[in-house]
Amino acid sequence: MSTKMSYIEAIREAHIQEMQRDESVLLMGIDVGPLGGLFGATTGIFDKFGSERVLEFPISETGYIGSGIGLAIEGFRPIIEIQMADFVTVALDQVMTVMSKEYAVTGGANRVPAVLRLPFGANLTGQGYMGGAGPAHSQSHEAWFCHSPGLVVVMPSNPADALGLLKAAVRSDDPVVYMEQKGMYRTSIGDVPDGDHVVEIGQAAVAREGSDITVVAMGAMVQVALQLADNLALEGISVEVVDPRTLVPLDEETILVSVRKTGRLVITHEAHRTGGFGAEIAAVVAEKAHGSLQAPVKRCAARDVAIPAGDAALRVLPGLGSLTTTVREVLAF
Amino acid sequence: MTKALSPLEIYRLVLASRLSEQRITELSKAGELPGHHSGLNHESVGIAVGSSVDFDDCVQTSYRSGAAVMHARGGLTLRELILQGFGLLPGIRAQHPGGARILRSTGILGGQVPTAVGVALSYQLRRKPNVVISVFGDGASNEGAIHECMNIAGVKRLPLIFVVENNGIALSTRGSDSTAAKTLADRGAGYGIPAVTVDGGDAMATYAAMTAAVARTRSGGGPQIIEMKLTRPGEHASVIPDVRSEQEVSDARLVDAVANLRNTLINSGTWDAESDASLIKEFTEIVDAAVDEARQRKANLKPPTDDGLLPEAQVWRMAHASDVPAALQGASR
Repeated sequence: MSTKMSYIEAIREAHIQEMQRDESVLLMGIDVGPLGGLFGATTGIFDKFGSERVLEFPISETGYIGSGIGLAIEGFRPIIEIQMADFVTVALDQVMTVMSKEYAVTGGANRVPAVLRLPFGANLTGQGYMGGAGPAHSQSHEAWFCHSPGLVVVMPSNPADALGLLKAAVRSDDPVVYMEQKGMYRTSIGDVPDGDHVVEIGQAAVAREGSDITVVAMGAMVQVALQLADNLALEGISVEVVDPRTLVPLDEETILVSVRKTGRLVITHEAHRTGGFGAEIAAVVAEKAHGSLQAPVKRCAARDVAIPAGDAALRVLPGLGSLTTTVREVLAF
Repeated sequence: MTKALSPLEIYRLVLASRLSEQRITELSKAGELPGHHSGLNHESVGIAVGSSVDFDDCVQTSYRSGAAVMHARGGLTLRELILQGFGLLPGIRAQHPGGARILRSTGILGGQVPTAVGVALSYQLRRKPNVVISVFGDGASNEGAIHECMNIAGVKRLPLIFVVENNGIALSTRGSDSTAAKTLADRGAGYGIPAVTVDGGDAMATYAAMTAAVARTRSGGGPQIIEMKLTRPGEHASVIPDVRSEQEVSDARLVDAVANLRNTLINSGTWDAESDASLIKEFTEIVDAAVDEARQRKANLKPPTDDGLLPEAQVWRMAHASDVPAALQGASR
C-alpha cells in the first residue's frame, strides 16, 4: 500500500513519523514553529509536538547549528532545518569543523546524530515557475560536505526517497547532511510506501534500466534524465539512469556495474561543474572501470558562473537540452 | 554540592598548575615540545572554574586555562598534566569515560561555544540541575559565533556561564585595538545578561566569583558573563614573537595570582616560607619525575608511517559512529 505525496509532504511526514517514534528527535530552526518553516515543510508539527520538541531560534545559523551539535552530543537527535541551503554558508565552521569532526577528534567519545536539512537548487522540473531565485538562493553545495569527512550526505530525488532517506538520516549515529531539492517540493509527486519506509543509506537506485549509456543523475536531474531516456527510446537508444541517492558513502558498485555494462557515462548534477561531485564519480570510474569505457566520461552541470535570478537561470543550469547534447556527444564518440 | 575550598587548598592547586605550565612552556621554548599556548598567569581562572562545578556540570575549556580546569576537577594529577603536555594522554573523555563532562575547544576561536549552548539547552529541556561553563579569551569574544551564543543564551535563559579570560592582547592585537567597549562585561547589557569583571590576579576573588555565579545559574538565574582580568606574561605561543615593549611585558608579569595568594597566606599567618619551599620542592620532584617518564615513553613510541595502507573500513571507523558501509568492508585504498 502507498500514498500519493509531494516531495515536501513526504519530508513533513518523515518528521512526524520519526518524532512520534522517538522522543529524542527534535526539530530546530528559524520560523519552524507555528509558521511551519519558510517553505511549509514543517507545517503542523509545532501544534502536534509543542515547544519542547520544536525549538525556534533567532536568525543565527552558527548559534543554532552548534546548539544542535551540543544537543546531539547529549543524546538528542535534532533535525536542523536551514531555511535555504545558501544560508549555511555563514555557519560552515559548525558543519566542517565541529559537526563532521567531533566523533574522530574525541576518539569516538562524542557522537553527533544530527540531521542538517538543506533546501537547495532551482526548479528544473519543467513544471510551474522555472528557474532560480537568484545567486544566493539557488545554489547546490553538496560537494563541500562530501569533502568534509565524518559527514554522511544524502540527496533524494523523489517523494518516496525523500521520506525514506530522512527517516534513515534521523536514525543514523552520524551527522547527516540532507540535501532536499526545493524546486521539487510541490512539483515532484509520487507514491510513498505506507508503514515504516526507510531507505538504507549508501544504496544507489537504478531509476531506469538501459544498455547503451549510463547517466548518473542527482537530485532534480534524475527526473530530467528519465525524460531524456523516454525521448531517446523513441530513437531506439537505451539509456540507463542511476541515482546515487547517497553521495557519502557512495554506492560505487551500482555505478561501476552499470558502466561496465554500457561502456559510456554521463554524469549530471545541478551544482557547478568545477569541483562538483560529478568529478568524484568520474574519478571513481577512471580508477575502477577504466577498461570498460568506450568513450570519454562527460559531465553536464551548472556552468561556472553565479546563477542568475529568474528565468535567466536556465541559461547556466543543466536541463533537458544540455543533457541531450552531452549524451549524444558521448554516444557519437 | 561542591565542597568549599580553603585558601590553602586553592593555593596548592594554582601552584601545581603553575609549576607544570612553567615546565611545559620552558620545554616548548627550548624546542623539545611543539608550539605551546602557555597558560601562565591564567591558572587562577582554570582552578576557579574547575573547583566551582559539580561532577555532572559541563566545562568547555580554553587552551590557556584548560589544564588547570582538569587539575581542579580531579581529572588530571600533576604528573598527568606533564604527560598531557607531552601529548602522551588520550582525549579527556577517553581518560575518564562517562566521567566529568568536558567539551573541547575546536582550534577555531569561538566556534566551540555554540556546542556549549546546545549542552545547556539539553540540561534545560531535561530539567537537570546542571550548568555549563564556557571559557574563552578576549580575542575570541570578538567572533560572531560568541555574539550569537550570548544572544541565544539570553533569550532562552540557559544555564550557561561565559567566562572571558581577558589578558588584554589577542596574539599581537591589543584590546584597545579590538573594541571600543570599556570592559567586555559591558557587552552583557546588550544581551540582557548580568555580567561582572573580576580581578584574575586575585585567586580567592576569582574562586568566590565563580562559585557565586555557578550557584546563581544553578538556581535558575540564567546565563552570566564573567570577565576575568588577566595578563599574559609571555608571547601568544612559544614559536611566535611578542610585539609588546619590555615595559609592557614586565608590567604583565607583575600581576601574578600565585605569588599574590602566597603572600596573602604568609602575611595572614596561615602559611610560612619554609612550608612553601618544601611544597614547591615536593611538586617540582613530581614534575621532574614526570618529565623523565614522558621522555622515556616518547623515545619508545613508534612514529606513524605514511605508507597509505590503512584499510578503507578502518578509516571509516575513525571518522564515523555508524556501521562501515558494505562497500568498504575489506576494501583497500
